[in-house]
Amino acid sequence: MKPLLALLLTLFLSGLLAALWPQGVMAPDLFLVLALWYAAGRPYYLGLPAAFLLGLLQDLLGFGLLGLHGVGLTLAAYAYYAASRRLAQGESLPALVAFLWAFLAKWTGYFLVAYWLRLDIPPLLPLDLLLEGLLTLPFFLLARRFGP
Amino acid sequence: MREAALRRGLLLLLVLLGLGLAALTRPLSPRLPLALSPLTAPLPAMGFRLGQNLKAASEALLNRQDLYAENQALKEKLALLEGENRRLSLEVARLERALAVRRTQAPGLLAVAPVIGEDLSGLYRRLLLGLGERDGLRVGMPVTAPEGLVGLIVEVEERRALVRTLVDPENQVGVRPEKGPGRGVARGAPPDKLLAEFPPSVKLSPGDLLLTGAPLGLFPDGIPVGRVERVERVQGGLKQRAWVRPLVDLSLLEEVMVLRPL
Repeated sequence: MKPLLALLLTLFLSGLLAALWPQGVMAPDLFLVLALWYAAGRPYYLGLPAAFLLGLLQDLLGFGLLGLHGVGLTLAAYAYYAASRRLAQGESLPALVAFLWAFLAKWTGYFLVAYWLRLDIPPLLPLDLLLEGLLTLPFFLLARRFGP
Repeated sequence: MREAALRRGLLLLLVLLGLGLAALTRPLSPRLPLALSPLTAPLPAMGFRLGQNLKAASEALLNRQDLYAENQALKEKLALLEGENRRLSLEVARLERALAVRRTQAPGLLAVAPVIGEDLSGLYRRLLLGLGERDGLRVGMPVTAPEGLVGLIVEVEERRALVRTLVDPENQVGVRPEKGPGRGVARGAPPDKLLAEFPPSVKLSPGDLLLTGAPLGLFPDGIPVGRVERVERVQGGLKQRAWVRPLVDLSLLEEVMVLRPL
């Protein structure tokens, strides 16, 4: 029940943010937050497919290429599992590192799909990526407080 | 070890699935997501609509605040400009009066002085001017207004000057009729008249305009003084007296022109 409510809330908030967020500024990735929140405390065989499906949903909502976000969020969830296993649980700093690792993995997934399909890479600045990470981080920390 | 392999295997499977989906559905993009949007979009659309409404409301609120501030600023500016306009209008009127005096009465205009006080004792009729010795005013200077003669400066301080007006009982001014020959002397007859004495040969009738003349030599020639109201013979017909009403209404004077003395 809780994951379903979280999904509905994420969908609603993503629409809300899309309207309110200033043009030209990277918005926080709430689907990444939801994927990591769901993966935390659940086994990989649930977390990874859930992240993949969430990514597909994100693709559908964005009217984009099916699989792009699916791959990105799957890699993010996998990286989060990998980081969480190696770092102490329940502390803020390891959580930050795990988030950073997952965030980088997500973008690696995007670039992998782009390379696979020989897509033109959008002209993203490192500052944009950093901004997206910084804006997503508070949501991730907030989601952690509610527990998986 | 086995779990790690399974995990990697699952990851690989999902990544390959994603890549495969991306490759297969690429030609269908964005038609496929669009076709499926009725299933996926309602909730985000609700959020989006709410966000739009919130944004519109906040913008309306901000705009309203902007308009209010702009309105206030414009009101202040308008008040400032109206004040400036009033000041300039008064200045123009003052200069026009000064010009009229210069043109019609005397070239020796020295200053335009504000009337800051008036003696209403009933016996004396004197005006206090807001300029004084430091502005160049001296005793003996004639004071006029566009309508006619006002009086003579009889006392000067650093920043003030006292004017003895036409109707002051101590005032005397040489006058002549505008339309005919003859000279006389007009004395002040408070509260608002002059009493002029002329030889009986001078033709005077009510309504005649009297101008300053030369006999007493304190005022430039030709400045309007007043209009004759009544003429009477005195001393067995050896003199004639004319009651004269000054052209200048002293109680309405706000500014007067000070002329150089003769």
